[in-house]
Amino acid sequence: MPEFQYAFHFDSSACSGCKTCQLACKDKNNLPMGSFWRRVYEVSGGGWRKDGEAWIPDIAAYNLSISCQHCREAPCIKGCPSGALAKRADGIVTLDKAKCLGCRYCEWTCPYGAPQFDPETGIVTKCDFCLDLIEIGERPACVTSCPMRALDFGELEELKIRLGGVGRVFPLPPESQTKPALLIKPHPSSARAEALAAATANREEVSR
Amino acid sequence: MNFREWPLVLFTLLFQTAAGAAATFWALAVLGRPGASGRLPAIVIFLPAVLSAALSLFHLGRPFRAPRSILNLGRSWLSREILFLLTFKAAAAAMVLDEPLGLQAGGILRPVAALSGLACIFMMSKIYTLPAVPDWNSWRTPASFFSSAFVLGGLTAGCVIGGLKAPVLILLAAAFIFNLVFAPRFGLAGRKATPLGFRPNPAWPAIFAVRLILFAAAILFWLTALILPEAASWLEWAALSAAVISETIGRLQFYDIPLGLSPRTA
Repeated sequence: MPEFQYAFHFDSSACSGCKTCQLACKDKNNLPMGSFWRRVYEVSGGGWRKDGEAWIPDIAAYNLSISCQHCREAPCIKGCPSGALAKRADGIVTLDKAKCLGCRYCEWTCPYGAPQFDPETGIVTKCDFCLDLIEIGERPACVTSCPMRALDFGELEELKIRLGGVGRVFPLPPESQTKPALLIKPHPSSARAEALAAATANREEVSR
Repeated sequence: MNFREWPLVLFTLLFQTAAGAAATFWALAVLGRPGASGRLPAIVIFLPAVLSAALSLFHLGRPFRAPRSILNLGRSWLSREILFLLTFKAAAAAMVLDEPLGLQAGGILRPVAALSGLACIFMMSKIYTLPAVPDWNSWRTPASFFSSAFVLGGLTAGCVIGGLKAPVLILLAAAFIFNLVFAPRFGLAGRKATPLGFRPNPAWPAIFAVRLILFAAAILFWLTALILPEAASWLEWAALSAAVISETIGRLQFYDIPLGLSPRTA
């Protein structure tokens, strides 16, 4: 019997890149300037390809809405020297603000850039899956706000059965690295993204 | 160049200097070299160790919570590093007090300091060998940390007690070849724009060249000290100074790397 694990499901083929999820998260959690617990990466690449006498567009362009993946093998928990990060019985990775010393090591260990340092408070902050909302039977703010219904959440195994999806899409790190609690319905062009040398187009926006 | 991590640059370099010096002095004491034991070498080990620990606090958002950093010894390399750092500092402090208090414990304290210092450098390198940071996740990280320790520690020991010209020269030459050929050239060798949006700093090759020129200057100063014994003292200190600047540039480049999905802006 697998352990209970909350997870996000993201439909990349449906995402329009409007970033409402990003803003809803920021608004709900009252995040300071520059801090985003959820970021939308605009991945694009490719160009014109000659096909006989014709030039045709050969591109990959899609969005990825990425937050903390509440990984099953979370490197942030393993690395945290003070034990401030922990995994709950429902799989959600939480941060105890009273224990964090602001060493920022979790920022280094996380391949998704999820933990983010807040210079105002001197500690790290991260997505808590909108625990307060889940506990009263509501959905995380990012899921509720998405106008394209591209985001969903639930128990990982149940989500796999209900919606399917894969654990990794270019340019996310290999799934085996942290076993993220994330399922993605890939955009059709993502299969050729690596071959087309796609890159994050909104680099400045997602940089920290 | 990204100076944001200056506390870590100074912490790692000063601690590695102290640990390298402790290992060198211990080896020399075992070989019966005059001046390798006693209060002066102990102070030379203790001061950078204490200074490094103090500077590391500037990296923390909540420095008063620093004692909490050893609470995850079972899983965190960072906790283990701090434990060995504290062991090293305690041994170095005891070495300083050994003579005044008549403890006669130098024979035990020297290996404890040297071995805990080297163990701490190993733990330190484990902290950085992270799958999430491909530029750090290789043998180059521990190799460059130990290289810095033996270069700076060896040069410091050589300047303090003298008479180590040939062995330190060999050490410097080996480290130069390592830095030139195998290169912990963080930000240089094979680094390209990544799909995550990271773009290499165009100034890095020039900065790396300056680092190598300074390292070569350190070797030249040390070699000249070997040939001209009458000018040896200032030439040795000049060699140490050039090596310190070179290693500092290298460490700044080490920390100037992209992290995870969201590369830091410089």
